[in-house]
Amino acid sequence: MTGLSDPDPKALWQSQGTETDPMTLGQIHALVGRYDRKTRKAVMVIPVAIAVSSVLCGVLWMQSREADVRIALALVFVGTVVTYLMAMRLAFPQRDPAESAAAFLKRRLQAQLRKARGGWLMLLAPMAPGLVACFVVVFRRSHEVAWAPLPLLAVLAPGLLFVSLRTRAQGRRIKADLDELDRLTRG
Amino acid sequence: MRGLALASRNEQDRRYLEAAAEFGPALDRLARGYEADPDLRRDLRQDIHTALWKSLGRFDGRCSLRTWVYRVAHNTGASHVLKQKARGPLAGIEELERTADGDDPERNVSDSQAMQRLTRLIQGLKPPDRQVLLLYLEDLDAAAIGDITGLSAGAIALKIHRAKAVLARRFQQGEGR
Repeated sequence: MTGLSDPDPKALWQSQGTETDPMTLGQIHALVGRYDRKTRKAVMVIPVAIAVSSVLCGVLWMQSREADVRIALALVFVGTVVTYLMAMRLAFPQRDPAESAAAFLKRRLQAQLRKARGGWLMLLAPMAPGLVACFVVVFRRSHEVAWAPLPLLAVLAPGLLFVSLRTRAQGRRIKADLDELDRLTRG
Repeated sequence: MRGLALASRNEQDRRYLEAAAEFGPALDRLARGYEADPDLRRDLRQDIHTALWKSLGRFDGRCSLRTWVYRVAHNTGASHVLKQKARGPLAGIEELERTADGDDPERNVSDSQAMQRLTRLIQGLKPPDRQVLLLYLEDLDAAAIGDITGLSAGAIALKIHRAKAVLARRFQQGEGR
């Protein structure tokens, strides 16, 4: 027992033994293979989703003769494809594996901040014209339908307000961490 | 084409084995600094080694192998911390310097208890402070710590100074108290 009178925490820290056996190349290759298979599956979700959207929009297009419905469908389809592609870029970003720790942290915190501030809504923005066009088409056919979403909105509004306030508070905390990181990197 | 890919993979394996032989124990300690739970720590250790192997396929010599290994490992560790939703608030070294040690005032404790205290202290730090302290404990100099973390020389000097004060107060009998 040397106790804490030992003047060198570095020696104490470095004296730790390893907890487990070193990983073999076989284990690493197996883990990487499993990870790659998972990534390939995740990447496949986007083309599959685009294909399903194409089929659905195509069927509805064929069934419909009205120009306004076809325009709405085209807008929905284009918006959906753009949203899928944007989601793919967000989900699989190209990044430098050995960027400095501060640069890595800054990028992660910026992403968290964007998410906390509702940046994910930007993902849905390409779908907005299509949804508006659909709403207009439905509204033209029945005035009742236009008011139908109101009770649902009344239920959702408090929830949305709560989530918005919570994410704003989270955003403030992340912004404080980002500002501190900026100070540390500037010197 | 396949031969080229195979040669490149062999080179990646060779680099990984070199890095693991030289820095394996340090990466184990680094994982301890990022995760208290033994099962989650095993997963983190695997993540670090996997990320390191994958990254070495793109090793371009822009920095030393040591800097590369530590950057990849700390980035994986920081990512692990950021993903933990249930963790408590993390402190900076400055806050630890201001607050009293809540541990047993009995200073003459065993090495294992001392190690537990040190590990707990590290695990309670914000990622940038944790990185500086972990690299300091690995005996890297300020320039190397700057290369790995990307923090300014002034910020690193200040953090090391404060880390030394905290370590002295908490881990050395009668000193810095």
